[in-house]
Amino acid sequence: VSLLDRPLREQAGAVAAGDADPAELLDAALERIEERNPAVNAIVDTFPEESRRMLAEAPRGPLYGVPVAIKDEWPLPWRAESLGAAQPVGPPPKAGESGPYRALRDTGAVIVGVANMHEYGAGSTGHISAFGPARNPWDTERCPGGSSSGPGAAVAARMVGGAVGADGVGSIRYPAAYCGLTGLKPTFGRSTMQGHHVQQTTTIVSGPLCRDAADCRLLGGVLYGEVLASGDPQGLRIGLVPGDLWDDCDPEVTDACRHAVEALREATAGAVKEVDFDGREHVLISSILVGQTEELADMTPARVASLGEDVSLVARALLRYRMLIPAVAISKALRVRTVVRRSLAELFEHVDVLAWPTVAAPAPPLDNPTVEVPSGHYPADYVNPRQAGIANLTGVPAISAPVGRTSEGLPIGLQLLAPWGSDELLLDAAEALEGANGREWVDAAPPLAA
Amino acid sequence: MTAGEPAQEPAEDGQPSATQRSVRAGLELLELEVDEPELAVIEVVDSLYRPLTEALIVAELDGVEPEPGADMSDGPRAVEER
Repeated sequence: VSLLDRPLREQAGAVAAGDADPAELLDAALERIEERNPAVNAIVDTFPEESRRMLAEAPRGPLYGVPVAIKDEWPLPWRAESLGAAQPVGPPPKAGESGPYRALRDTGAVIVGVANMHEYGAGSTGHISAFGPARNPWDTERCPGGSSSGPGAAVAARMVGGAVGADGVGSIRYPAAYCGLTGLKPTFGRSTMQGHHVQQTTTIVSGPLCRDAADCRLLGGVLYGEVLASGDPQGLRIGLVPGDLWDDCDPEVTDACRHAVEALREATAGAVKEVDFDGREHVLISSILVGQTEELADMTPARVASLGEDVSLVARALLRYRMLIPAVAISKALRVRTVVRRSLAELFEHVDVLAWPTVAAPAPPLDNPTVEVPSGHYPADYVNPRQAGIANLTGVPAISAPVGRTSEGLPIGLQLLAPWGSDELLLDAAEALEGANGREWVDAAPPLAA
Repeated sequence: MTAGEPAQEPAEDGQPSATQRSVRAGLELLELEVDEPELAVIEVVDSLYRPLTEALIVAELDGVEPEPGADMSDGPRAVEER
């Protein structure tokens, strides 16, 4: 078994103990990318010279000598981000030292490749990119999730043990759910955002995509710049919100997530109670409106008009549509944000975490990214923000953990949300869940990586 | 918070729909051209999101305690705490 098949922390441990040569590990990662990437298109750029230079200069930090990937949303000193797009819609991106780059560099990690993403970060599926779609390692005809499509596919295909993504309306959690990974959306502001193109964001965070919670704790801690301490989630109070978040989902998804919640309750000797929050009916549209209008300041009609046919038809259309969003809707969305934040704060006095499925249905086909849920047949991009957008709208942390597979063998993810600053509790809970199901889902590898 | 029923507003007799007319007019004011395939995409997206947007616009959200200088990294605070 290659060390690349082991979790990120075990790779780091082997290198630190002198049991593995980091140069050989880097070469093995590059070879594996060459071997497996054609099937999944997760990595859009490698740069062996820069990777070897990072290793040569790497400090003996917690990720010393460990290869990782980074989403095409972050500038590197030798490469500007392209956002999975053929042309920028805002100011031209510049190469430089982004926060995630510095965090990785300063802890000894080696960036082995840049990972694919949904064009402009504007989709939950990953089926559109200037580099071609990333593919789901569990079924390469299906979407890996987006917008952090490449990070998800790269980790699931065991090309790297961890990858850095970004989450503005669920963009770490969707690929985690679709690809059978653990993905952490930090509390807003806890993880580094330096160098991100949406400098005034109030919704986007950097975060880790890894196989399990312990690896997210390690890589997340690097991005936070602090150790994310382990705790004991005994007596966990789990809140379930009635209605569409649970009921308007694929029945296999609902069943797996309900079983997982029960397993988590048992494992923590906790309790499950039904709770609700105000403003729920407006969360989907509000999270989209707030998230998508933060970038509008960088747009002009001339910039939108200049986009050629190498930019997707969908993006050209949506960018025009965004220019027409009514100001009253944006203002109301910001009011909803306040309503939901106040209601969540009150609710979290009675429960420790909220739980519901990360996505309403498993990964849809790349050539038809739509999903079937009890209320109808919809684009996945339409239904997914209903499940994930609230964490970005309000700033609270959230995690997606794998909890099963459908009869077609596609991963299912359970999402947990916690109060502001309780990111560690989410990791503790996810680890308790892993223990409750014998690590069955976090240790499973897709056929192409088996 | 249902996924919602797409608004049905098909063009009749080859005439542009209300969405097409309003989008064209809005973009014209911005001196931004839009072609037919782009309009078709916008119409689909609008049919999904317009009902939600309209529901939001008409929502009465009076009486909500404001959150001046809201900090998304933390929970909300009362106005007098700011």
